[in-house]
Amino acid sequence: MDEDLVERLRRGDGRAFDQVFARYRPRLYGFLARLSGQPALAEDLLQETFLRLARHAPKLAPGTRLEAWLFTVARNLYLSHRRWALLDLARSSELMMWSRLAPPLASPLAQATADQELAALEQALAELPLVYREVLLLVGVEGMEPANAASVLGVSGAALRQRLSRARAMLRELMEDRDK
Amino acid sequence: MSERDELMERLRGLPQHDVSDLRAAAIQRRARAALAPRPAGGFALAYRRYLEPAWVTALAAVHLGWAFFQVIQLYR
Repeated sequence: MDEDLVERLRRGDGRAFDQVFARYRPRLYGFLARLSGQPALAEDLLQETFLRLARHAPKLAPGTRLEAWLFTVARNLYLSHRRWALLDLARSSELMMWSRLAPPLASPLAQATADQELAALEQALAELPLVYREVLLLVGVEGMEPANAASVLGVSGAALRQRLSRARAMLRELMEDRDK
Repeated sequence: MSERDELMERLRGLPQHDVSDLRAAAIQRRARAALAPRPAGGFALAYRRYLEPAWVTALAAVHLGWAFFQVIQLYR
């Protein structure tokens, strides 16, 4: 099905774009929101991801897997934003020492989730280091095929399995600590 | 169900977050506008028709080289 969509996108077909948007928007937004922990930032990155798709549509290779392509772009945009944000934080913390004084905030997504158990899971996910959080989001939450997830993260299949296993163990530890 | 499967099952059960309909429509409209092929102006059309082919570029390079050689000859 992706092949047909890619072909139509390459021709600049607006309806094909609408289909891709409807199919991937919630998944991409969920991924970005949980990756960043900031819904507003996730909206901006979502928009930028689809703008990139629109601009690159004529140059898409015929066999492109849209799912992997979109998630790769979204992830790269977040990483790029994060690098700049860290630079800014380093500068501002020199002036105000905020980074040491501010207590860790509960993730807005966790706060918005009514179910306590799910909120605890959201919070534990948000506390995972980025490399483990992203693999769990792709494979666990989004249900992406491991081959596609490995392609998005730019790692081999073996490395992905190892990272996934470690991520699961860390998440379980965090959940158990919370239960105690 | 193993502990591992149970954890993955719980992850799959997390609620889906989404942008508001209004925001989604705005994002879609903006991105879709970038998809539409831009109308080409007269210069762009002429460039595509007469200047873009590789043989034109090659021919122009030969002529430029010849002209450069003539200038060198003139002042030698």
